[in-house]
Amino acid sequence: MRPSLFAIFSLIILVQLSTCQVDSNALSEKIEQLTEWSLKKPVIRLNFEKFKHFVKSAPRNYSIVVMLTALAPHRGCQICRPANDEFQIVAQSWRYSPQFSNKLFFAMVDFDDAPDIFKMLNTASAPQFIMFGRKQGKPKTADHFDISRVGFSAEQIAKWINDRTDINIRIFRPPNYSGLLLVVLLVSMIASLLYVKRNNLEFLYNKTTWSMIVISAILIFISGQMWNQIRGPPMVYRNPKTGQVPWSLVEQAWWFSFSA
Amino acid sequence: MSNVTKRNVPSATKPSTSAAAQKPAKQEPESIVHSKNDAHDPTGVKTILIVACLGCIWLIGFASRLFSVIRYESIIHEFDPWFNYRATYHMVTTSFYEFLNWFDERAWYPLGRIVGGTVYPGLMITSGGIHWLLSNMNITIHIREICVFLAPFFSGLTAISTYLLTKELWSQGAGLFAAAFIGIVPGYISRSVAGSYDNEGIAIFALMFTYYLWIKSVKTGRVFWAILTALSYFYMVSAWGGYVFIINLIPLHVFVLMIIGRYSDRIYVAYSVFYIIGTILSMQIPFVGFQPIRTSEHMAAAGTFALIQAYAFLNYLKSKLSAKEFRSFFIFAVTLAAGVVFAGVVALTYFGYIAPWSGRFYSLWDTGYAKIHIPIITSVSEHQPTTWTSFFFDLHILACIFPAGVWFCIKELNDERVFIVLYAVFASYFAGVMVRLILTLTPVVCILSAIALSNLNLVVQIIEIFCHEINIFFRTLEYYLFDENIGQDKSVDKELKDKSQYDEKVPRSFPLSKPQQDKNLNPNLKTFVVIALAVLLVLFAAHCTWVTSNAYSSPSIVLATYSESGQRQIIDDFREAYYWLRKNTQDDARIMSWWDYGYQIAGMGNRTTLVDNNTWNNSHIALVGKAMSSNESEAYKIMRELDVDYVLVIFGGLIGYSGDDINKFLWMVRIAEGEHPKDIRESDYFTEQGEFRVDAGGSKTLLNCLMYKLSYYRFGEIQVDYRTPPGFDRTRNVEIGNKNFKLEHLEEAFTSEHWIVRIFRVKEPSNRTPNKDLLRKIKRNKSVHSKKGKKRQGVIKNKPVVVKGKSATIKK
Repeated sequence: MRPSLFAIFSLIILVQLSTCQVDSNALSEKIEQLTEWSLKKPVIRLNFEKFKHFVKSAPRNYSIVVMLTALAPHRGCQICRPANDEFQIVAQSWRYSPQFSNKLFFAMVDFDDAPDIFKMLNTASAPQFIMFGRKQGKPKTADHFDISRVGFSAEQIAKWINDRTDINIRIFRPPNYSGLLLVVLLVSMIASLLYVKRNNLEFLYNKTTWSMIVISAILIFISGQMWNQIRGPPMVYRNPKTGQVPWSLVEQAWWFSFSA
Repeated sequence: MSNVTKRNVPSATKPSTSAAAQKPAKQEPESIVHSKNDAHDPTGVKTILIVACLGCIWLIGFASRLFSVIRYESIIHEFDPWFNYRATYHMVTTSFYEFLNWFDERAWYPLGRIVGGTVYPGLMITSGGIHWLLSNMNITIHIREICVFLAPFFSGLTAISTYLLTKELWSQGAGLFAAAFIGIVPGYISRSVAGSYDNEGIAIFALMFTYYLWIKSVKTGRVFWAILTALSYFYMVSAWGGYVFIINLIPLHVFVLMIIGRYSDRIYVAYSVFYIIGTILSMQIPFVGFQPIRTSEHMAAAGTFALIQAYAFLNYLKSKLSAKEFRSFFIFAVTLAAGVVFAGVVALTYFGYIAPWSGRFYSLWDTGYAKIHIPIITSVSEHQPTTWTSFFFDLHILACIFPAGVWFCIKELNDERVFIVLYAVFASYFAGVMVRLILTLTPVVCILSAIALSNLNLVVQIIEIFCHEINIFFRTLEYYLFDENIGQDKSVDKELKDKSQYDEKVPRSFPLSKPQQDKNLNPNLKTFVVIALAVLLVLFAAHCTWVTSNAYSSPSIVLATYSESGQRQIIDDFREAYYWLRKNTQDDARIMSWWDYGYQIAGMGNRTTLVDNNTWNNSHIALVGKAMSSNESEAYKIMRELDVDYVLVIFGGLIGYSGDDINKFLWMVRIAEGEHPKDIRESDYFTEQGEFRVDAGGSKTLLNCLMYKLSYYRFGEIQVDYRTPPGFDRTRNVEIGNKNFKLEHLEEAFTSEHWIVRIFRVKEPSNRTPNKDLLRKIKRNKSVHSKKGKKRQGVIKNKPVVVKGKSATIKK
C-alpha cells in the first residue's frame, strides 16, 4: 500500500511539474503573441478560436478587457460605433502610456466574426465590456461594465479598469479638431461674406435680423432645450412599470414632468 | 419727474463730443413721445397716482409673502437662513467687530470656520442696522422678527427700483407694470417669503438698483451717478456672490456699445468711474478680498476697462491726426494692444497670479463639467438644469410675453436698451443652465413684459398683421385646393403663371415700421385685445398667489399634513429633536449628520457639527458620507477619529416624508466615492439589475450600512397599518429588508414623535474587549478518533450523527 501511494504521489507531482513547465511555456508564448498584436494594433480582434485560446483557456496571468460589439451597419447598433471609439481611445492611451506592460490587453469581438462567443457567454446584447481578470472562472457582475448607469466614456472605462486591476490609465484624447475646424470654417465664411459685401454693410444694422437672432436665442434657452442638451434624454420614454412606449406626446410629457 | 425730463438732454448738452454729435438723428422719435407723455403733468396728479400705485404694490408684495407666518408662526425657514440668523444674532448680541473676527468653533469640527472672512456680511449688517435704528427709536423688537420680515420688506424696494429702471428704459406706464409684476411674480417670491432670511432677498434689490443707477449714469454721463452706481455695487458685493453677474454684464454692455458704434464720452466717464471705484470698494469685503484683480471671473471687466481707455485715446488722436496717418496707426495700435493684453492674461494665469474659473462658474459654461468632476455641485437640486415647466411655474404668462419686449427694445434701440437686451439673453442662458438662476432672470422678464404690454397699440397692430397673414394663408390654400380639384387639365405653365400672378396680387407689407398706421386701428380689435390681456393678467395674479401659497410658503422645518376630515396636523419633529439636543446633551457634544442639517443643528440645537451647508471642504463631507455608507464597525472607526458623540439621521418612512436621508443616500455614496474610491463603490449599493431598493431584494452592502441601520433601527417592530406588514416603509412603499438587528457601537438616544429625526449616541469603546486570539487560548489535543477518511465505517445517508466530544448546548 505504501509504495503504491508513493508512486501515485510522485506521479502527480511529476505531472504537476510538467504541466507547470508546459503552462509557463504556453503562457509566455501567449503573452508574446498578444504583446506583438497589441503593439501593432491596440485593440486585438478575436475570433472564436483565439477567444478560447487567449481568454478562456487556463494559463493566464494577464487581464484582458473584451468589448462585445456589432459594428456591421446591417445590425443597426447605433451606440456601438461611439462605444467602439471610446474603447479605442482607452486602448490607445494604454498602448502609448509609459507603464504599458503585458498585464493588460484590450480585445474586441464582433458579432459577425464570432457569434459563437456570444452564445458561449450566454448574451445577445451589444456593446458590452467584460473584464477577464487574472483569476479564472466565470466573470462576475462587477466584471461587466455597467453602461446603462455610467455611460461608456473613456474616462469611465479607465476608472472601471483601475477599480478592477489597479492599473491606472491616463486617458489621452486625440484633440478634437472637428469642432475647431467648424468654428474656423464658420468664422471664415462670415468673414468672407462680410468681405464680399464690404461696400454694403447695411444688413448688419438691420434690426429685424438682430431681433430674430436674439429672440430665437432666448427661446432656445428658456424652452427647456438646455435641459435636453445637458441631460441628453432619449427621444421616447418607456414606462418603467409596463415597458410600454407612450403613444401620445401628452402622455410622454406627463411622464417626463414626473421623472424630471 | 425731473429724471424724465433729462432724458434727451445729454446729446444736447454735450455737442462737443464727436460720437454724441453724430447721434441726434438717431435718437428715436418714439422715445421723445414717451418722455413728453411722462413729463406733461402740470397738476402733479400723475405723481400722486404713481406714488399710490407703488405704495399699493409694496403693500401687496409684502402681504402675499406672509402666508407662512399666518399659517405657522414667525419662524426662520429652511437651511441657509438658519446660519444667517445665527450670525446676525451673534453680531447683535456682541459687536460688529466681534462678528468680523468671529471664529466659529461649533462648525466643521475639528476644523472650525472663520465666519467673518467667509461670509457676505451685507445681510447681517442690513438687519442689524435696522435693529439698531429701531432700538434707538425705543421700538423694542427681537432680531428674529426683523430677520423674518426683512425679505418681504425689501421686495417693496425691489419693486420701486424696478419701476425706476423701467421708467429709464421705456416709460412710466411700463415702469408701473414692471413693479407690479416683480411684486408678485413667483420667481422672486420663491426667495423672498417671510422667514426666508437669505442673501437673495436683499440682493435682488441691490441688483436692480445698481442697474438703474448704471443706466442713469450711461444716460447722463455724470460722475455723480457713476459713483452712486459703484456704491450700490458695493452693497451688492457685500450681500451676494451673484455680484459677478453685474461685473460681467456692465462691461459687456460697454463692449457691445463700442462694437456697434455707440461709444460716447458719457459711457467712458460712467464706466471708468464705476470700474475703478467699484473694484476698490468690492475689495473691502473680506470674503472677496483680492479676487477682483486675481480671478478670471473679473477679467472681462478689467479687459473692457483697458479697451475703453485705448478707444478713448484713439478717439483723441483721431481728432489730432490726418485720416491716413490715423488709419495706419490705428491698425498697428489695435493689433499691438490686443496681443499684449491677451499674452499678459495668459501669462498671468499660467504663473498662477490669476485663478482660473471656479467650479461653480465653470459649470455654467461647460455644462458637462460638474456632472463628471464635482458631485457636490450636482447633488444640490438648485444646480440642475431648468425644465420648461419650472420656467412656466415661476414666470407664468410673462415667460411668453417677454420676447415681445425684446423685439420692441431692439426695434427702437438706444444705449440703455442694448443693456436690457443683453441682460435678457444672458440671464436666459444662465437660467436655462441652473434652476436657481431663474432668480436673476425674473426681473428682466418683468421689465420686458411690462414694456411689451405697455405698447398696446403695437400689440394690436401685430395681431392685425397676424390676422391679415392668416387671411392670406387661407386664401392661398383655398386657391391651391380649388386648383387641384378642377384644374387637372391645366398645363403646368399656366398654373405657374397663375400662381405668380396671384402672388403679385397679394400685398406683402410689414406695416410695423410706419407709426402713422396707429390712427386707423380697428377699435373693436383694440377692445378685444385689451379684454384678452386683462383676463391673462388676472390669471397671472391668480397663479402667483396659488404658487406662493402652495409651493413657496412652507418653512420646511415645520410640516403640515391634512387628515381625511380636512383637519390640519402640524408635524414639528425637527424642532422637537433640536430642542432635545439643546437640553439633553453636554454643551460641547459633537453631532454628525449629513451636511443639509448642519446649520439647523447649530442654529436651533446650539451644538457642534461636523459638516454643514457651507460646503467648503469636500473631503470632510466625503468622510461623513463614508461613515454613513460603511458598515457599523467601519463607521465606528471613523466616528471615533472624528470624536463624534451623536449621530442624527432624518427618516421619513413612518409618515411618508420623502425628503429623508435614505432618499439622499446615493449622493452620500457618490461624494464618498469621489474621495475614497477604494472603500466605497456606488455599484455595491445597487442590485444586480441596477436598482436602488431597501426591501429584501436590496444589495447586502446597503442593508448593512450605517445609514440604513440607523434609519430602520427597531422599525421592523412597528406596524403602522393593519393592511401592511410590520416594518413597512411608507416613503418608498416597501417592506424593509433587514429588520431584526442590534446595534453594536451605537445606542438609540432620541426619536421624535413621528420618527422623522432619530438621534443615536456613539458608545465609548467597551472596557472588556472579547479577545478571541490571545487570552485563554487553550491548546487541545486533537481527537484520536478521526472522523474522516476510509476508516470510518459505512455511512447511511441523512442519518443523525452524534459527534463525540461536543456538548449538545446551543452555542451562541
